[in-house]
Amino acid sequence: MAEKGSLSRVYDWFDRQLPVTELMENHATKYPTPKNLTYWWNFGSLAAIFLVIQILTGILLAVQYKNDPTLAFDSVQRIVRDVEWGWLIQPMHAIGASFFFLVMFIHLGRGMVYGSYKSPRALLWLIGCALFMVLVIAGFTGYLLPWGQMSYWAAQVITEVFSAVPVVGQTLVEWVRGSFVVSDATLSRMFTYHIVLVPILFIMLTVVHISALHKVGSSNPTGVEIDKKEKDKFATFHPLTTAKDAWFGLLVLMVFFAFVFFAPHYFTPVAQFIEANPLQTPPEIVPEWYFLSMFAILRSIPEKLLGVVALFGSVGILFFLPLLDRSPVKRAFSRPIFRWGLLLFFLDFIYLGYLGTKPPLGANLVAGQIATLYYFLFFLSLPLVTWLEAKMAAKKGAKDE
Amino acid sequence: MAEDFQSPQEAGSQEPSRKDFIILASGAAAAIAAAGGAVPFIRSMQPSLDVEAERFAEIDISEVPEGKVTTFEWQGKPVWVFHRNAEQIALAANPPKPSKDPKSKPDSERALKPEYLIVVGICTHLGCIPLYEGGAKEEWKAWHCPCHGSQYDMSARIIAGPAPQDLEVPPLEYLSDTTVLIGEA
Repeated sequence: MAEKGSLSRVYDWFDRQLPVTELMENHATKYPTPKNLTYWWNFGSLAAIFLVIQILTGILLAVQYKNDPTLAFDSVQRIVRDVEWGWLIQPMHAIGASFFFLVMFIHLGRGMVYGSYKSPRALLWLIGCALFMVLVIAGFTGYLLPWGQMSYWAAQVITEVFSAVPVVGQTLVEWVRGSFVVSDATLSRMFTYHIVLVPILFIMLTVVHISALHKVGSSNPTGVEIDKKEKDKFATFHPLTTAKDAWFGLLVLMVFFAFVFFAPHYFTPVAQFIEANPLQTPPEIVPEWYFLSMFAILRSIPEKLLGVVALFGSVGILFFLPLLDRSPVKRAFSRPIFRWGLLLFFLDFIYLGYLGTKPPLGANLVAGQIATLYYFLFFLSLPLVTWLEAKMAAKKGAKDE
Repeated sequence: MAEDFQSPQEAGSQEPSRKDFIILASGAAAAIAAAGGAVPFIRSMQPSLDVEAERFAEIDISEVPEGKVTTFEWQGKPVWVFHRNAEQIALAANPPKPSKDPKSKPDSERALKPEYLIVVGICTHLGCIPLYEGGAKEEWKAWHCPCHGSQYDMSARIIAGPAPQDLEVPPLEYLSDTTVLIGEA
């Protein structure tokens, strides 16, 4: 029977007018991925899984949420108590944010260990950094919406940061808040950014990120680019990578749902259960865990403007990584100085996070200043490290001959 | 200088072409139009008129007990009226420790009437609200900030901690002995 079934005729009808087969072949069934990728390479697709979770649960939450200071706090309580399945959807979104950041940190760290920011993937890295910044904005704007005490005061502190800008500082703060303090105007705009601007930017940048990835291809654990002609070193994205992603994704989702079911408030500070009160600061303002390191950097510098510059610089400097590190060696393990520097950087980042939970006094303040200094020194010393490593390699080469 | 303009199409010719001129002129016009067009969009995010209406507040300070602080609201911010007793006035006038703020003013300029210190109760570091302790721990210390540990004296001047400035004295005017108008006239 040469005649085609009705299903495949429908498919053909689409395929004639839309590049369906072409897209599927280019990006899945014929897209080559290196066979030697480890599970560290799964965190990109994990980020995509959490993006989907955030968007789906986010839409359902936005349907029920009221973005008005007099109603917002109760509307979230109502979602959890009265809305059908709200008890599941609200914690999925809140815990999902934490997991999204965790996955993003590991994904960024993987990129640093395996030189994924180096040629030919510099642009891919830059788009990824932009995605990270959008995630930061998503985290910040979203945290205000439950309108708890910590929501309110975290927003107050972070918007006040703009007042450090010389001359126009105060005007800028009022422009960002739409008011003199965080208020109705601020809540409305943050809600709008969170449900309109953030998803649009995130989805657009994700498409661009994947397009750039599929143009240059994945990096791999050896740090040596694999020649496209060595066909036996590649497998098609589907079914190898899709199977791996699905299995690993399910594994992480198990942990995720363990939090959602059994510890839905694990990441929520006590003050979040009190409605925002503009006339009373909670005794301690601590940001969400994923902002702790940046928070520690801000606090460790006693000069206001410099502190704010360091805060933005701590994220902004990621964009300059391809420029600062010009070493041709991609894999950190193959570099005698960089590998220790990078290990120390990761430990430093975690330590800064720990310091973010402590009041910046006495020994903690000094420790915070040293950790902040190393955070930036790691990046800024990269040209020197590269130069030293090149010298060491030349010396070793001469000895071997 | 006309000689500096050279389009690739006319390499060799010393005169800018008609096309160059049109591209430059239309490009500049589009840029100006875009900048002008962005003004309403940027402006729309400024505080709206109903928010602007809260620029002023009239408060009655007669009910504030001596040695205590009462919080009023102005522009959604807390404004403190600190009714100081004689001892606190003396500590404010002759502070045992100097302010960290290089533009710090003496107490006589901060409190129009020495009994009443009126300040915006927002820490100049990152906008938290300091807590009143009224000399309970150290006699000079009236407030400390729970966020990052800034410490303020009896005139709400910054003595220690990360805050760069003394607590702000809002623009104010005594309408009568007990009524104060807060806000820029």
